[in-house]
Amino acid sequence: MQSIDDLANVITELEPSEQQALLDKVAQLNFQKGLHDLADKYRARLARESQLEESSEQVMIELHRIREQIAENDYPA
Amino acid sequence: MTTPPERWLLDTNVWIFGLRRDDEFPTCAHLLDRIGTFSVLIPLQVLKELNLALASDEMRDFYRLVNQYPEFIGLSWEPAPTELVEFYEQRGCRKGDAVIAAHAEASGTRTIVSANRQFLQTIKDLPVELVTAEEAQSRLAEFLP
Repeated sequence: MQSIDDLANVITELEPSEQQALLDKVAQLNFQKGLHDLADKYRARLARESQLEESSEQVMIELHRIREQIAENDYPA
Repeated sequence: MTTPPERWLLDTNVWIFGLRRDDEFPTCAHLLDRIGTFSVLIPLQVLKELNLALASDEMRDFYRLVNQYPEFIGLSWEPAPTELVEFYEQRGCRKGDAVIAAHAEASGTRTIVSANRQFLQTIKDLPVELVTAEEAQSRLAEFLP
């Protein structure tokens, strides 16, 4: 594997537009990694609480219940 | 960082099915993986819903992540205007869905991505459009190299 200095030298040889595209890609991959870590943590908790096997329909019903509860509270009739 | 060309409002169900990696809605996870090629608005109603669906430490991780990438994700703490909520309710949306549509219109976000069938069927010929995660993914394929 290249050292950080070697890698930096390669990057500085790129055109500015290519450098920007590279930086954008690195940011996107770092964001994805963060989301995957969060998904792993969330799924592990759901598994511990025996909620991971809930059907999509059950999940949707619960999300609907939460949505209407918040909306009724914030925008009372 | 370059700002992505399109901004979409991802409904709470897209976030939740994506994070759960739900087998019935695999495209939700695929779409979350593409954030950065498009940017995302998270309005107050979705934040409140996520706050109830996720545990406090998960929500903390979520905020830490989105705050690191403001070019990708924008949080809006503004309540949706009441008159717009009423506008969408009068056109057949349930109140909660009307709040989401009102958030989108008030923030200038034209597209809502949702897996909620009833919501998807309600909004037609209105200032905001609703698309499924599959339609959103197809759209990405059109504007990305």
